[in-house]
Amino acid sequence: MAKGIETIHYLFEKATALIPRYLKSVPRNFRLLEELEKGEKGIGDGSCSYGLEDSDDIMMSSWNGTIIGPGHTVHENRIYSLKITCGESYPDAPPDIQFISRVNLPFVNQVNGKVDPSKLSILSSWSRNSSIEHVLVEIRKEMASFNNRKLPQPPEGSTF
Amino acid sequence: MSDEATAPEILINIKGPSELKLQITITTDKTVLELKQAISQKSDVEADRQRLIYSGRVLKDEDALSVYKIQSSHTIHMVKGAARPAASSSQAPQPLPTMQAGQNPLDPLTQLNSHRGYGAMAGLNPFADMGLNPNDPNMMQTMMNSPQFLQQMSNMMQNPEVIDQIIASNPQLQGMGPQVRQAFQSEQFREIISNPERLQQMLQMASMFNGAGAGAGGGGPFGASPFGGGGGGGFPAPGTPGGASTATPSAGSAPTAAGAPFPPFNLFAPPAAGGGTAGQPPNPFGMDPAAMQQFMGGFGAPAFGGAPAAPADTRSPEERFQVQLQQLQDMGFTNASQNVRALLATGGNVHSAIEYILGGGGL
Repeated sequence: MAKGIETIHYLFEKATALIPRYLKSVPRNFRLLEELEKGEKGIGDGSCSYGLEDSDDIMMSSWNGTIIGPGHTVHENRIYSLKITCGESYPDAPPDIQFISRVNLPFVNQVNGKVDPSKLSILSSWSRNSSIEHVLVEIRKEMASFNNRKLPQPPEGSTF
Repeated sequence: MSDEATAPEILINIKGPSELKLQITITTDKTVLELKQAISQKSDVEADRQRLIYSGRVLKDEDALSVYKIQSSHTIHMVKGAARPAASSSQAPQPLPTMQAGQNPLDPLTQLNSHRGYGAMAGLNPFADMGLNPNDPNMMQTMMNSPQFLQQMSNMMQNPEVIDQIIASNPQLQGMGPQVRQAFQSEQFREIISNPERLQQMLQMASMFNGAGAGAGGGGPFGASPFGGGGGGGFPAPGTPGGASTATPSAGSAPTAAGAPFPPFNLFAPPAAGGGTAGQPPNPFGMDPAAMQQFMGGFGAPAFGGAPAAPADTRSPEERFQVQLQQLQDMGFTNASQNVRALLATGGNVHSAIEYILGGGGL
């Protein structure tokens, strides 16, 4: 009998210990849901777009993004595809950003397309108020910056 | 698509260059190319110059709209590109993300964790802003008073998969073997756990218990969670040698369980350890909530009253959390009263207190 009670205590303890875990994911998921809705509704000028890679992904971790190359730069008329990964501690920690479309930018690893967070200020000085959209917009701004607008680019449509 | 005839018709907003806005009604079994043709009829952009982007993806001509799970009133962006066939950069098909361990979509716990759970959880989350903090004692309170949460909790406990998950996550439970499942399947236990009212009583007791524990400064990252305050050992299982040895002597000194009609520990301790009414076999499942509450009251007090840090309860929070307050100050959290409240709420855990403050708590 005592064994049974012991067991119940463990189980109850275990079950209640799970509560904080899901509570912790509440703010994250709420936040990502908001971002998802914004992305689907297409708020903004369309120069950047993003959405869940797989709408059945219950953890909302993997996202697609596109950036339309800013006008009057080498990027004009190009559509860049990116992969965005929001980890468990998003939005406290920044998302991982990886270019799928090949692009030559100083903060993009030329081997695998990963964005070096230390070289992009929105990621290096991440604020939990920043969003996926902010990151994409920032990257697009970087493309149009004086230093980057004329960088030679790989052929359009090539991927990492 | 087998359900071609019944493919839902959706209204899509198209945003294009130079303020172009269109609304197209189309069924989801149509291809992207057909959508482009529909757009070209309403605008001066030929289909082969259109590039459509939805949710961060370039739509491919040959795909059906259903592939992208576009829903009514969603927006597709259209970019004018140079005319060329198959404009899209043939994005490599990405493998579906593998399910994380324990992320079973059929498992209610997962659903609670996922965005899909929000339908059910919406009612109980008054902290919809991002400042929601699991360490906030009020949060727990709110949850305990929320019938939806309790319902979820009891549903959770009724699902064998959840039980399996719980068991699997705890080696000690695994070691106990089939008894665990047996206990779970017992009618009485079910009754306790599946009855929201009972569950609420248990949670309240737990928070009472936790309140006693907070003074010991044990409050882990989950300071507000029942049983969490004391960490893993916060709720020593009666019947284990450790639990029994602390329990037995304190049974006599449990006046805190005021008016207990019988020694509270008899409920849980094996007859030999309990003494007293040893002739009457303990029946934990049949216990009424009041008795259990007494047990918890009696248990919480001696267990933590004996802890060295317990006298701290008589000191002011400023004194008690002197070290932690200094740490917070040093880290640049200068609102002293907020710091105190944060530490009180988190049982003196600096890390949790910071999260609490950053989440806007204690203001």
